[in-house]
Amino acid sequence: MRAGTTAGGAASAISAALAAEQGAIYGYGVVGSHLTGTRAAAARAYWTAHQEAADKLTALLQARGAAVPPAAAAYRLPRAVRSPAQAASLAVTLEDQVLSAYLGLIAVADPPLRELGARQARAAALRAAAWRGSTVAFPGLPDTALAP
Amino acid sequence: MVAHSPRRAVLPARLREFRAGSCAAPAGTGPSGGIRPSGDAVSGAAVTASGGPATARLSRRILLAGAATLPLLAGGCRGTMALGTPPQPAPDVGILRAATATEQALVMRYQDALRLLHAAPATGSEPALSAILARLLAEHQQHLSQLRSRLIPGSPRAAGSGPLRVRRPARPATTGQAVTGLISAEQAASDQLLRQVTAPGVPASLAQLLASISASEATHVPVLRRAGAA
Repeated sequence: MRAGTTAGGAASAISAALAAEQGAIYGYGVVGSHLTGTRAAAARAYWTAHQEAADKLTALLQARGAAVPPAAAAYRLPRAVRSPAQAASLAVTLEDQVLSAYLGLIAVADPPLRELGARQARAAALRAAAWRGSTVAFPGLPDTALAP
Repeated sequence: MVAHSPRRAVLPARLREFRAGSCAAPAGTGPSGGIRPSGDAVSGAAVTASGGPATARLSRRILLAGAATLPLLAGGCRGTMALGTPPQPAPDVGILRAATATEQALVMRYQDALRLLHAAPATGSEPALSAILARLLAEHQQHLSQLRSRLIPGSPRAAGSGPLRVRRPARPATTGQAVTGLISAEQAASDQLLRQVTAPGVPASLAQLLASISASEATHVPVLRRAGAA
């Protein structure tokens, strides 16, 4: 059934974005603990932004009557974080992961979800660029999605 | 990738070929090496160990049959490079043309700013600003080439829509004016692309590309603000 499949696709894309947000919330706790001054303040502000985004996604799933995946108690970090530079690099990874998940949400042909996805992807790209200290041409898109 | 039995050793290479050429949607495919819930079973194996020899033979046959069609699927995603057949015109040519025109106007703005910088007598901050603008310009040229690759002039859908008209932005008189103009043009372009993402009839892959370019353009704004303030 086509309608059912589309609704299921939307719920699973929202769940994937929520999972990425939950990972970012956990990860920013680690990031913030290795930073001081304005960078620690940025990590706190971004943690709040991810928390709010996760709340929004949770509400969307609940409104659809879909199951809300719980956040994991702990997450495996891609590598150990011992320095401010490693903390910033983890923050870039977290934002890139969130960005990819929101691009996945854009694949759902539902205008409000596409708009949410595009806005959040842009916000994540801005945060990623701030941590990275440079910009990229196609934030969140794998090379395979681009024409050669 | 791990081959679990010598009989299947031929398969992974074919499967790799498929993956390299596939145009997988980014949905659920985060960057490898990202954060994962602890205890989450991460399996990269495409082929899992199975029971007796009969099962093994059967699954091998199915996999081989599938593998034969895979390069074709991959070719379909990559367009002219793989099979020599022209890619299908984008379903929403109007959106694509508007995005391409905006991107061309941005490229012109950067070129004007760089010309102005190169013509001006060198003082302290010009070389740094030049390098920053050249980097951002290179990203716009990549945007433009991706958008153009999806816009095929002369294709049935694009036919009749005429040549792409781009309004030339006013030439700035000073570098300060050029940077200010770039900041507002980048923000406007990012907002315009964001609106186009939700326009009706935009296929998923184009919506994702437009969103990614919108995000990229937004990230140029703080870079330009810092460069302009320096």
